[in-house]
Amino acid sequence: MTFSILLVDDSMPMRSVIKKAFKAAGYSGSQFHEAANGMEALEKLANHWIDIVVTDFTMPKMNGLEMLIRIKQNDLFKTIPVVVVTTEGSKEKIDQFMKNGAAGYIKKPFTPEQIRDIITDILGESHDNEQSNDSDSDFDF
Amino acid sequence: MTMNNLMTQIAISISEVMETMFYIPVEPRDSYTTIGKSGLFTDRAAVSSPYNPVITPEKIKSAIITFHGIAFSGTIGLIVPENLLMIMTENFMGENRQHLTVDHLEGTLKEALNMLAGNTFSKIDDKSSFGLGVPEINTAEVLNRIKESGEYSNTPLLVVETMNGRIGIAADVEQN
Repeated sequence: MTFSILLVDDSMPMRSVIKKAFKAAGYSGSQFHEAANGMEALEKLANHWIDIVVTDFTMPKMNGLEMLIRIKQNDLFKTIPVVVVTTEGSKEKIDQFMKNGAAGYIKKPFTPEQIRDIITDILGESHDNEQSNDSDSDFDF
Repeated sequence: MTMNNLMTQIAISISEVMETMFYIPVEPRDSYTTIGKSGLFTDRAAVSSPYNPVITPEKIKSAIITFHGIAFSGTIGLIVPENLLMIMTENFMGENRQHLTVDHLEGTLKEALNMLAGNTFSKIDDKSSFGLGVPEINTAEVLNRIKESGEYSNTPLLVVETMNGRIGIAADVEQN
């Protein structure tokens, strides 16, 4: 099964790294959409079918928390899981995301295994790359 | 929070960030110095690489990020020789250097700084949030101005050794 994944981060290199982590986790057949801030992400959501949103917190124009709140307030989007990937590691910030409906949280710096584990919890096992799901062995980025 | 404590957490954080995200082992020096004493902009450069032994502002890349905590606020700067930044970007993005652009290099530097700052402050206090700003690149003009004016010569600087050159991390902090 493949998925449509929206990556939201103002850092193009970081979007690239997260995309690689997804591919290494067995989601290589998935379709990736990218946005540089929350506003762009809401536009992508309005125009594309999206299965999961993976977002940074600190971004210009609209940050990840505001985007999360808007997604959860929208009847069309509110069931889409949102995973936050950010450097903000305080309990206060994590609680804020989770209270507003985030499906999960990954703190930078992260390993590809952490991305795989949380996405697998939310989406289930991917079958587009069986080999990468065989074991818990380390990924090769 | 003392400067010693901050620099200790920065040293731990830069090791985690560089090794986890960039696959580059690092060795922070035991004690920090200052920008003025480090020789950052001289032939005795604190930040240099085997390829660029004489450092000028044109040969290094630097970014800054602001933070606002309950007890203290300030700015952290990350200073990296161009060649080391190239290696970091190659490792981070999994791309060969001939495919890398200035945007890739600067994006990688800003992301490294963002992770360094976020990781550091969550170690100092994992209960309350530090307001981190958006990382910004210091242009060569800005670095030249810093060099000429000596404005930040007393700013604490941690030097971090790698196999491909030295990283400098400056911390300008004020108690609130």
